[in-house]
Amino acid sequence: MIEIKKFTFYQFISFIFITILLIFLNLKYDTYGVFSDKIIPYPIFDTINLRINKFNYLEKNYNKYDSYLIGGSRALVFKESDLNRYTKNNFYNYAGIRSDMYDTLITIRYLLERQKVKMIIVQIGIDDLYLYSENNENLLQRSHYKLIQENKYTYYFKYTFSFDLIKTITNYMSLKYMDMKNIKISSDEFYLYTKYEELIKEDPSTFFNGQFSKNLYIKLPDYKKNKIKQNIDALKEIKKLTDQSNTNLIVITAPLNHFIYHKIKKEDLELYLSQIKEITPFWNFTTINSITADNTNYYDYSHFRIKVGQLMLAKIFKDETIIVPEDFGIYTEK
Amino acid sequence: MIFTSPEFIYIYCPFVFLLYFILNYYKKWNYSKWFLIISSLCFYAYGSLDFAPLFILSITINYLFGRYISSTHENKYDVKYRKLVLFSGIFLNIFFLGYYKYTNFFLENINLILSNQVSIVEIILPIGISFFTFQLLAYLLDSYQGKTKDYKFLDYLLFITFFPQLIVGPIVHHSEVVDQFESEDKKKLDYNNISLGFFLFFMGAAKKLILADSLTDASQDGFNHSAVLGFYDAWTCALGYTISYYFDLSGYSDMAVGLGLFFNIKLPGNFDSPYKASNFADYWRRWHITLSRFLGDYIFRSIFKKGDSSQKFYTAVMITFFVSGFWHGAGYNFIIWGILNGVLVCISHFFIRSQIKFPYLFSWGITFIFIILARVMFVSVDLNTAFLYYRNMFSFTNLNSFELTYLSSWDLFFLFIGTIICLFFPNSNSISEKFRNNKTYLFYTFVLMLLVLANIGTPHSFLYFQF
Repeated sequence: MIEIKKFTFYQFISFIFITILLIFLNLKYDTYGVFSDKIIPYPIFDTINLRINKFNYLEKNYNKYDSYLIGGSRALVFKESDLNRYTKNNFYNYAGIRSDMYDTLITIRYLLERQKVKMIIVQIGIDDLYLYSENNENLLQRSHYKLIQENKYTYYFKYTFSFDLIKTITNYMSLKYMDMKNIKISSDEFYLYTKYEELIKEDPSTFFNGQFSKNLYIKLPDYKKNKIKQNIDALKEIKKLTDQSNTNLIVITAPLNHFIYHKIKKEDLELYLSQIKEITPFWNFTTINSITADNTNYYDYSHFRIKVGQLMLAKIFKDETIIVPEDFGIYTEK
Repeated sequence: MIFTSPEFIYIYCPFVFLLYFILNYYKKWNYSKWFLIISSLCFYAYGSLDFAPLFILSITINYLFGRYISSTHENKYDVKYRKLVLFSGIFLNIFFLGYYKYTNFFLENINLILSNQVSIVEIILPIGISFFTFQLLAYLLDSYQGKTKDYKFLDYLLFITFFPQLIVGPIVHHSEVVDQFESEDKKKLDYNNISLGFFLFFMGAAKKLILADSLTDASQDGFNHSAVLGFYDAWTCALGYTISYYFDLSGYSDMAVGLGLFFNIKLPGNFDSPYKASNFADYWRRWHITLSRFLGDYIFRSIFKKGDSSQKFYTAVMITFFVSGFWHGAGYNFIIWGILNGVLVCISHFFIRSQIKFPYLFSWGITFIFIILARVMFVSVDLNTAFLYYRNMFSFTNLNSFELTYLSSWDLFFLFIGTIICLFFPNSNSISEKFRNNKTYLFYTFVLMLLVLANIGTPHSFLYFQF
């Protein structure tokens, strides 16, 4: 037996010791990637906050860019080089994992306050009409404190004192299994999609059977309560901001896989699309067409492939060197 | 604010603890109580700011009503007014709960019956309303029966707002804690309580962070795909949710008890190894004990009195579980869940009364399977989803392909560990009794702390926050 005062003191010391150890690990190894600008320094998917990494990078390099592509993880398929070729601008792909319209709005607001922007392309995931500002508490998906206008100290407090050991280990082990560690990282490509393309090239039937025989990667939101109003209000604000700063705004809706498309309530889908049209003309890829009906155009039920992104850009920028199916992409206006 | 968040662990809790005992050290008893009340209200406002003023108003009105009722207990001429005040108080509490929790359920049914399209109103459920409404009602009813003492407003306020139990219980009865708040012996630092509190808090947090959260996420993924689940997926996700629910709620309860001990307040335990139960009556004596106690005291016993017929007994059981189902959530799945539990408890009592006994393993197995089946009804978003889920649990096609989609090998590992702990390990109450200030428990505390502090990065809400 230990004397009770001593025992409590040892418990307290243990608490302090573990805390200091974890703070040290956070600051030294920057587990969330928020204290320095590492653009995917180490491809541990879902352990590094990609949004903050991109923000930190851009803070130092914004003068290299005059145009931005903004959207969720699906927009990571678009290559900056393709966008630059079509527009003669200098694009930065500012897509973030699980970004919704709230994240898009706060990003655009910040960008336009800071610099003159020539063009902004916004990709809207129509199935996100059930979401709005969902990631405020998630350390891996929170936006930078300057975007969400949070106090700097409370913001860094969270990242200093938080740790996700089990999640990091499990993610690391599953990526090791996928042989992600040795993948080449290009600034122009999202490493996960590059890896998927490699796997498709090696053995397409194994890849697609694996991805589509199971319902992987689809977390279906609560389809009872739509958040069309919040999403539409955000889009109105985006339109107002870009008009005020004479920025060319291009809105596109993501080509939803037929499975997800049919999961959305038809009346919600129609209402959302009709309200977008009232605010701004847009490129509607959210239809059932020869691309969206074919699972081999997708990595999983949610994410379309790089080649689909190239088709979308070819359609928008009228690139006749690429054959785009007629039924893919409709320019929609009031 | 979530108990497992860094804000709570590193800022809120140490600050409140230190200042409370500093005030007590200087014998500022009332200031220390006020400080704890204000801190608890801040804790509440952090999650439900809009409702905080109404919450305070509701507590005050209940106190005034309760005082009036108890002060006129001996006065025969005030019977009418006493009843009027009691029913007004009950109505007020049920009105608040009904408005926030059941308005949309009511509107949906109106729409369904009349084929109308009345818009569903956006109502945010105030955190903890179902829990503190019980406490407020219990106070009023006990005041009417002359069971309450003349509590000081300060002690009463602290009894309702005391942050460890405010949001998800344990549903504390006023007679259990108000005296503790009044006692001056409880104002001094008690190292025995603090060390046990440390241990219990981190044990509860480990249950929540290590076992409950990952299993809940993976199982929820399965429930999101109720229509396409295979046999094995359906059973593993249902078992996953059954295990995760226990660790989520009992983890919260352990943390609450641990935090209470920091302030020298002994809160009641809420779980007594429920999955070891061998019938449903036993299960409900072990699961969410303070809720069962409340429902037993204020609903079951108001219908069934000692010496009443068996028929009345079974009716009382069914009504109690119907209320329990409806209290849990505004949806038909919760009502059916309540009725299902009522039927199972009645069957258990029938066997007990008829002295029909089965071998332990058989009765335990049947009970556990029905616990899993009842959990499916509870966590499904609606009846349709629940029935789809049941269909897949009992669809015996493709039994040869043992492929699991939703639970990863890690989740299966945690599911295995969790199940073993539920079935074969002692529960928090017995661990607390065995707790000693020796090297073994110091080592256990260290391991639990390490597990918790190294995994507080993505705090999940507790499952009962939705109620």
